[in-house]
Amino acid sequence: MQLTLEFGGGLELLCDSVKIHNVDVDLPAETQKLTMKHLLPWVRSNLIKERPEMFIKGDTVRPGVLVLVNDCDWELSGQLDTTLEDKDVVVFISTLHGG
Amino acid sequence: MESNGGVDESSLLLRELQSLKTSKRDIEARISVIEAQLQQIQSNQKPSSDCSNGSSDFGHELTPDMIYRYSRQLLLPSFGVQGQSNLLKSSILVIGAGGLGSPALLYLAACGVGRLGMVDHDVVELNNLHRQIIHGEAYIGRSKVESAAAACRSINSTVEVVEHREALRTSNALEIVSKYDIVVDATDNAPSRYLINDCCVLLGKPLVSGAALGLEGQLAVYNYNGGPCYRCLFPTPPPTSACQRCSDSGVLGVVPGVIGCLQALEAIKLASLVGESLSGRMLLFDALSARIRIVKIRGRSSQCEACGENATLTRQQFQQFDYENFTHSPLSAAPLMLKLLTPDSRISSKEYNNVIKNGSPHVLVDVRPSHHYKIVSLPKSLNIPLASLESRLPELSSELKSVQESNETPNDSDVGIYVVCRRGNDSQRAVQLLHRMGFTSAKDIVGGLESWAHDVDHRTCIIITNQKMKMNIGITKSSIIPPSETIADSHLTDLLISFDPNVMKKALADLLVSFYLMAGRLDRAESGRIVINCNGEGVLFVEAELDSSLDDLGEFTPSPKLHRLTPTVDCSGNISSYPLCFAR
Ligand SMILES: [Zn+2]
Repeated sequence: MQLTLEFGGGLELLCDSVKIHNVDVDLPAETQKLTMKHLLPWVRSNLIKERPEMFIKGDTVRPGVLVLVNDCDWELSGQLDTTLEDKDVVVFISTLHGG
Repeated sequence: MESNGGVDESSLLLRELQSLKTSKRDIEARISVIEAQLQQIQSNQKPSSDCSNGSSDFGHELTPDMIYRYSRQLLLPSFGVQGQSNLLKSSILVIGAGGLGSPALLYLAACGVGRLGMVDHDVVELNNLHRQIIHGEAYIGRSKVESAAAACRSINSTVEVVEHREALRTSNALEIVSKYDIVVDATDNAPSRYLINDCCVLLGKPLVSGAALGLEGQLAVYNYNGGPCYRCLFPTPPPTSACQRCSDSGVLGVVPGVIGCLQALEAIKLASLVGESLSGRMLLFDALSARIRIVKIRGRSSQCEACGENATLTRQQFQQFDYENFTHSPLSAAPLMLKLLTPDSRISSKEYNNVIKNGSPHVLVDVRPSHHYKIVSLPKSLNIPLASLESRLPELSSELKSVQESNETPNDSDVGIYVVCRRGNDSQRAVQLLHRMGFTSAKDIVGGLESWAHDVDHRTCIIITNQKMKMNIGITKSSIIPPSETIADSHLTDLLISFDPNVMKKALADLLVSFYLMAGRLDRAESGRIVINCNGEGVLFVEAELDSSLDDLGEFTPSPKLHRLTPTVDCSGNISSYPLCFAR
């Protein structure tokens, strides 16, 4: 499945400072549908190059990271249960505090 | 010195000048307050003297002066007279007069908010000015609120400007915030964001929240019209390592400027009751790729501890809540000082200096990012940024081996490992990791390069770069001479007056015997006197060894005429990144 994954607010530093990743993710064999629950470990092992604890905590993202699926907060689409479709855009963004 | 009479006289004159300037400032501030009051009285009287029915003839409360001043926005059909009169009746509090607050305050004052409050405890510093555009050089060393208030009053004397020269804390937040209709969060740290959010929830105030770092910015309106609050979105604070500050990570000046302008815009929309606010949405700004993304965020959370259905937050609890502990980071911009290691795994910069002097075999690992390392570093240090330390451990091992061989020590456990970073936080994280990976003798240098640079008796190292060349300068001796008194205009300061004369005399004597003063922060005042540009921080005198000839300094040629050194020097302390006094 073709997805566009974007990292911002400093999270891109965890993946070699590359913000936009066009990726092809295999569907899990058992269900044939891709959810955020599957995508997070995939991102963790395929894109995150350092300090994974700055991205993942337990089975979800660490506090202070917003996840947006097609420009919409994943809380509105079922969080980890959000089902992804071909060409979806998933954004991971760390909240900023500076000023 | 024989010319002491002249020195005393100019010292007296300078002091008098200083006191006159202070009085002048006070008088000017008083004038602007009185002008504003007078304007207020006149605009209240005018309609009733012009027409017996007061202002009701116009169907609004705008005076002719206001109609003229705000005519360009009155012409807007979607804003108009109604929007303007709503705005004139509103009050807005801007918390933080920094990178975000600067443009926000300027626009809010200019557009005619009725009452404009500002909170900040900080003072203006030279390294603020690239982004905090409300402040000017003349205000360096003075209160940001004082500076911002003066700027706002000079733009619009009809706005009531209220100064809160203090940090916002749980003890004063309820009282201050309750006096305003709308709050703009223009602060720079996580605990303040939670504190301000909770205070706004308790008092039912809409919150325009902005943040910027590096080349990115974020903006949202919280606690408005049934929308979410900051805690609905971020119930748990992020780890401290994810809370970077502009002072550590850098920020391009215009980025907070863009976000601050948008904060002013959202506050104006809320105050004038026009348009659709950014509630329930968030604006994400990426300057580098020129992208603005507006995303839909969750609604109010019923579980929210501040605004949810079962939220129990009371004013009393708020006043006792420890926000610094909650977020594990300080409210003020004072740098974080972690204590992750036991004292026996740490070493002071003085102790490390002894390690060097004794020639004890060791490896010094600098764990800062490589672009920091390139600006300044200690001699013979090995740069392995913290992020890649784990994967680059073989480099450390081979360095240990080569030190062991060249010192003919029996085994590599006799070779010390010392870790340094900028302030001594990352170095502790690195030592923790090294201990886990079996390098149990690793120690970190307390306070990092900053403590090193401030410790005047020690060697440090500066790299001068200009476009073409790079030169290593090993400093053999240095001393910082602080100003003996606070000087308001610290740019061009007469060296003989601004500094403790005895310290200065001795320092100059020490230097002038064997060295020829060349340039650097030396300058010539209009009167022709030699002055030192000290930024109010003092002057650092150094003796140094170079790895290449001084002729390489490019445009500089020794002559009786003073030149500035063209290369930039960063000694990585607070002494500023200005070219320093340079001696040979
Ligand atoms: Zn809430």
